[in-house]
Amino acid sequence: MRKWRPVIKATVITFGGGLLFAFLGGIAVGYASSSGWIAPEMGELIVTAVFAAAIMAGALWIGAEWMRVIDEAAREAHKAAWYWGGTAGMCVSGVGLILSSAGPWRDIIARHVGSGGSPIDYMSAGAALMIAPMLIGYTVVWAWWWLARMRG
Amino acid sequence: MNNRLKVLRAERDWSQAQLAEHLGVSRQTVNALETGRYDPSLPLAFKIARVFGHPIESIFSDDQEPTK
Repeated sequence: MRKWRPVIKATVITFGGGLLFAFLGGIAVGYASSSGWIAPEMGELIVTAVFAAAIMAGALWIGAEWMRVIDEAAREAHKAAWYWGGTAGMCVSGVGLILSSAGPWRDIIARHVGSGGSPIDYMSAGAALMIAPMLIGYTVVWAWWWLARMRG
Repeated sequence: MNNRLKVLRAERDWSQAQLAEHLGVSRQTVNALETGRYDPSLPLAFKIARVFGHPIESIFSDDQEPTK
C-alpha cells in the first residue's frame, strides 16, 4: 500500500485541486462578470480551459507515478496495449476519417447520420470517435496480453 | 527462454505470492515468468538470481541453445 502513496497523492491533488479551482474560479468569474470586468462567456471559457488543461496534465502526472509503481511485466502489457491497441483503434478511426472526408461516401454517410449539426457538434463527435476505438483497442490488447501469459 | 523458477520456488516451499514479494513484482508476473511466456529484463533476472542464490545461467537457458 505504501508504494501506491505517490499515485494517491497525485490523484488527490489533481482532482481535489481541480474541483477547488473550478469552485473558486466559478465564484471569481461570477464576481468579475457581475462587476463588468469581463464578459461572462469569456470568464467561463478561461476557467473551463484552465480546468481542462490542469486535469489532463494531472492525469499525465498520475499516469507517470502509476507507471513507476507497477512492475515491468505490467508496464510491458501497457506498452503493447498502447502500441497495438491504440494503432488498431486509429486504423478504425482512419477508415471513418477517409470515408467522411471525401468522395461519394461522404454524401451517403451524411444521408444516414444527418448533416444538420453545428460545427462544434462535429468537433466533439470527431474527437470522441477518434478516442473511442483507441480505448477499446487498448483494453482488448491489454486483456489479451495478460490472458496469453496466464495459461499454464 | 526456459527457466527453473517453478522448481526453485518449490524447493523453498514458496507460493507464487511469496516469491513475488521477494522480487517486488506481482503474482501475475511470477506466473508469466514461470510459464515462460514472459522473459524478464536483465535487472529482474539478476534479482531472481540473487533471491535464489544461483547464477543467472543456471536458472535461465536459451531455448535456441544447441544441446551439448
